[in-house]
Amino acid sequence: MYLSNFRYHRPTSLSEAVGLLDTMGQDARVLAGGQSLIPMMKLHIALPDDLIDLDAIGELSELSIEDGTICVGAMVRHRAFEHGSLAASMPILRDTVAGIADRQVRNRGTMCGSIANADPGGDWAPVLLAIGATLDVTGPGGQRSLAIGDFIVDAYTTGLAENEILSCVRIPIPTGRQASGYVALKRRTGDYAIASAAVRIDLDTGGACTGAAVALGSVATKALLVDEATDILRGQSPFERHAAERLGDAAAEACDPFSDNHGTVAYKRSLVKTLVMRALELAARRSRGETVDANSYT
Amino acid sequence: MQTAIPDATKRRIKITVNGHEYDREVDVSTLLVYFLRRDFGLTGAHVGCDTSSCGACTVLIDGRSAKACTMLAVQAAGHSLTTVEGLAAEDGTLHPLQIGFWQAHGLQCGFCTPGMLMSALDLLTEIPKPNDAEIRKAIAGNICRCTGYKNIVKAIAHAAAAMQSDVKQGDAT
Repeated sequence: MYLSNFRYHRPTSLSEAVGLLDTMGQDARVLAGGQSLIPMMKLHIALPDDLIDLDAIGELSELSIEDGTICVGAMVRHRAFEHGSLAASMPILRDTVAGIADRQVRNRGTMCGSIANADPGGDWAPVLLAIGATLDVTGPGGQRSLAIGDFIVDAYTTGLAENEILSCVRIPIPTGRQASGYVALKRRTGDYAIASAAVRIDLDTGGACTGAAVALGSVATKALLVDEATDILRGQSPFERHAAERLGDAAAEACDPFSDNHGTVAYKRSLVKTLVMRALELAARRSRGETVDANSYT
Repeated sequence: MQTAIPDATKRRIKITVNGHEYDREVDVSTLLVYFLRRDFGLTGAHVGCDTSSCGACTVLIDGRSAKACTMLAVQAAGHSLTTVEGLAAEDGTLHPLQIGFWQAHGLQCGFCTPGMLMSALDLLTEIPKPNDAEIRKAIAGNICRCTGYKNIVKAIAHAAAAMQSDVKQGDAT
């Protein structure tokens, strides 16, 4: 396949990249891992005049811990969350990457690129919504911070201005007793999820929930939060079957799926309920110290 | 690492391919797989689907597998590439993975083999003794249309075992 012509830029600092973007305007695109953008350019769905590659900006490959948050630079690949201490301490990150495409794509693709692409079927958006991530956005005037929920506007549409770059995702490191899990149903390797659910629970010392967040992927034009999650689980054990059912029902009600070759709207709502209940159980078991693989839940 | 040429549709890049450094001018819209095949004659990276699905174009970039059809050649600037041609030693001694595929009949038509080998190499660098499930997950991005997966998995396990015993022998001496 042949790409149409474009100009390629390889800045070596974030300020240079933002300056280029500011000059080039709306027909420029920012390139991180390129695992969505390059295929779209090959299909002539994306036809940028200018491509600004972040690869040579060393600082963007940093994965660091700062002020109680995990800072994920724009060039940190998915694979960074597959193994190691980070994956062990926040297993929901491993749940997420384990299902992203295939090994080669996880070696190249990035969390920030996936979020900035805002595909409604992306895995990171529901997970980052559930665990309350914030995003650093850098423009010519400096840096601002956006909650993930404000960043994702709609399908393939974000809160980024034309001259801004998503430079870092900040994931809060849990301070109290907290557990989370992500479950996605995918038919084959490389498919987007038919539906997915991320659940986070905050617990008191007695093991009752003090707060919760449930986020859904692939079942609306963007990832969405289930508003009632905390109200339903507050004061309850996360193992309480009746509460789990109510949580699943609320999620099935909150989502807005469309019918396609994977299933009807009714099927997808039913699937959402099941996935939410499984993700809750995954989080609940982790909250009492169990090591559980999300794969056993799909 | 490189100098922009005014029109920015061509670039001069420095790149390491199978241990040798090169300085080449390349059209920025050229995909890495075509750059390797046409400019270097390294036809081991196959163009199968050309849509990121089949993995026949898999090469290593700084030791990690990637699909060369889903990358611009200019993105590889300043990085080190390994293709299947770089797998055997300079004197022709085959890599344990190549021996594994030979011994365990890990190929039929052979079209997917270079990609399978490179994915397997990436796996064995990370997990030296993978179980069958880990091997299967590692080659999920590589399609064999002869569907000879069973022997491919055996071939990779064969190589892993051979590399382990080499390590042990090395320890003993």
